[in-house]
Amino acid sequence: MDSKTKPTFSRSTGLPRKKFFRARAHSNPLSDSHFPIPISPSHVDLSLHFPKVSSKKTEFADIGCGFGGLLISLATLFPETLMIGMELRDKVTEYVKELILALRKTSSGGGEYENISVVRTNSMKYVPNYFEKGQLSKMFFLFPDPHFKEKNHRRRVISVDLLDEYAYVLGGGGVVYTITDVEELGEWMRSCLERHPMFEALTQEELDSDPVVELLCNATEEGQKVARNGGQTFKAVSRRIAYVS
Amino acid sequence: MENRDPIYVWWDIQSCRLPYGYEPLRVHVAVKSAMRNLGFFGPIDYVAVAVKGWSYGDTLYRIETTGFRIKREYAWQSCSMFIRNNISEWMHSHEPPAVAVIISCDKGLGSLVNRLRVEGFKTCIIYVPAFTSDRLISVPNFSLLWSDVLANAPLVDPREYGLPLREVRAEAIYVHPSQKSVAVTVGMDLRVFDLIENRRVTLVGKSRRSCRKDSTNTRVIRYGASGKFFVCASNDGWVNIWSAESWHRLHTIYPLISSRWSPSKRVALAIAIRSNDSHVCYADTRGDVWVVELDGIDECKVSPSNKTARLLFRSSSIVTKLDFSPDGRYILSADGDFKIRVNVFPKKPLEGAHEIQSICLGHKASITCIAFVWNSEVTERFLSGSDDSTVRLWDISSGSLLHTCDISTMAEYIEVNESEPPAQVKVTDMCTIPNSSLAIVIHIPGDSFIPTSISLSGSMKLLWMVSRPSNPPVSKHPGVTRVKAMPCIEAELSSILGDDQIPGGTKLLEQLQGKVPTEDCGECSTRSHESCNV
Repeated sequence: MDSKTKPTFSRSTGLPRKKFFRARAHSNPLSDSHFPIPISPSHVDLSLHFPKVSSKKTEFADIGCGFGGLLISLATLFPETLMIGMELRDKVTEYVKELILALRKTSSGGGEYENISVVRTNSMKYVPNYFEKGQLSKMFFLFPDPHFKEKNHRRRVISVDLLDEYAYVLGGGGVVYTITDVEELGEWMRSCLERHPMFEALTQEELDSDPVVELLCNATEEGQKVARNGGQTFKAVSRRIAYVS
Repeated sequence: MENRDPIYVWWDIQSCRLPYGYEPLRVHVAVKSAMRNLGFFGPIDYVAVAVKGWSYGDTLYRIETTGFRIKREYAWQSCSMFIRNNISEWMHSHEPPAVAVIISCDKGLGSLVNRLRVEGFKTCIIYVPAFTSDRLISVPNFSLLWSDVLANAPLVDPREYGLPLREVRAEAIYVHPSQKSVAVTVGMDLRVFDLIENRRVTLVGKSRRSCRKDSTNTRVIRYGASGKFFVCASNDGWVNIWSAESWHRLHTIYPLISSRWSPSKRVALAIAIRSNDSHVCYADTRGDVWVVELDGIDECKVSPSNKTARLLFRSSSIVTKLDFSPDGRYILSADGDFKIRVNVFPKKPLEGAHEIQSICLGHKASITCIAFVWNSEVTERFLSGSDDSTVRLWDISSGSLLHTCDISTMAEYIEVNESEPPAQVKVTDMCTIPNSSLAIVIHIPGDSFIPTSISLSGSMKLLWMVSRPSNPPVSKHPGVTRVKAMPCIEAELSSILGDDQIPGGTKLLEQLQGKVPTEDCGECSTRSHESCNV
């Protein structure tokens, strides 16, 4: 990779520079954007995303992965698990794609970061198109858009209806991790998960023993910004259980 | 000698309305040709009175482009007063001879028309027979029926005016499971014919106003599989449950206002009744699915404590079709993203249905119909037809696509014009026949008659079908829907029954189809297409 011909890449590390991939923070999730959507989960071509891995299925999904901070941290923590990030914004997905390709090339041991990828899609509508029933074991929702106005509450990414769909794609025992710095949203997400009959909150001991939980706060750009400003974060982590009426 | 007196037309839109699907651009031509037939060839000046705040869609805009002057009044009661005042003023400022044409049903016009005649004006009243009195009709020089005037108008192609064609809602036919009655929705109108008593049924609403609304404002209807209930949802949000035997109104669900920030009425788009009649579900325009518990509803008594609750919250797309599986375990909802979601119907539906059994992905265009395959050997399968010309077979519990059938190749559809892109053959409705065959109704673009809905009566083995003329129309008569029936004995569909062989006979056809024009010959698809220019 010739860094002279690619001005958007940094010369020293060979990684793409964020300032050339900036985009607005908001994007309307209910609009019909024009990007290709797989007709069904069997039509998802995993060889495009994970060229060196075969005959495995994605197990982790980062919904609204942003600039990919969490994926990068998780890649080394779980090197055998395939993970995919879903992001609605065009430019940001480009950045993460370039970042993953660059990391794969420059990785020291060789073969690192082969298990992460990103796809541009609207996860509120198309999650069932990508994942079969019970395929995922972890789902991440880090610092989602709070949508403060009550008329916009139906656009929130954690809501009772969408939790039905997430319960469908998560297998029994699958975990949903959410974190936000907006207290009202944190309360909303926690109560949605509590009210839903197919999710049960993790106990404090389980939270302490899970290595992923600390990554929620400081792995992403958004999390680092909150820590810098000394803000408070609100986590809600739940496990998917069988239907209890 | 031609009469060249100037003609002045006043039209009270709210009393003489346009039938559903009627192109408003034809009105001025209709009046002109009616006047020509009476012998008046003078210049015409048009005025129309509408009510402020009522939603007319683009009707008023289209009327205005053809030369009408629109006046708006604040209340529907004051429209007729406005016309009377306007005519009185006009009388003082204009000299006879002139022709005054009033399109209205106002009974109080009698004295005014008398005065006009005395002064020497020629007068003509165009009216709707249901709302006027005979006394009014005898006063003016000429009186015409509004429906006649509209029917005799030559066709107008809105594309010549730069306006798009209007969408007409498809007709639907539903037959009572033991063929006790037949219900047809034509546009917004609901017509029900009781085959046992051989008469048309009028659904009596709560008050006179809502009665009118019930039968002329219907959006979607459904019969319960046991034959006891009939549900109908109207366009302004009311959902009514009727007894299908005695036609008493059993229960009403009021239009819901969702929240302060979006005070919209929830209009039902799809309705489903569970096979053991325990619940009714309906989907509204927002995408939510509501469930009503029906326990306690009986012929005579109405239980006031029937609860309604939100069953499914769909925040990202609207639900177009709803259905229960025949054993009542699952509820299927087809949505605007071309997928069918199968939910397990919970034991306590008022708490919401959260468990998704499967999601059926595969269709590429909107799903128009769902039918079940349910007999002793094969259970848990269903079919869906859609606008992408395919019918697909699915397994309910896993959601997997078992088979796809491309209808356009099966129907041997050959595109006529090679320069245009191939138009889609759309599957409009389908019905499974218990001896494991399937009847599918498709819309081939270019045909003059489009069958829009079919329904099977389980016991009598008759397949009923309703069809409507194509849009843009190729014959003069606008809303002619046809109801046909054919027997399906031993997996072979015999020919279509003649008009007198249908149960209910010509009386049923008259009531359900509306006025059948006299020039209409039996099979209109053999007629040559007439040009639709003015």
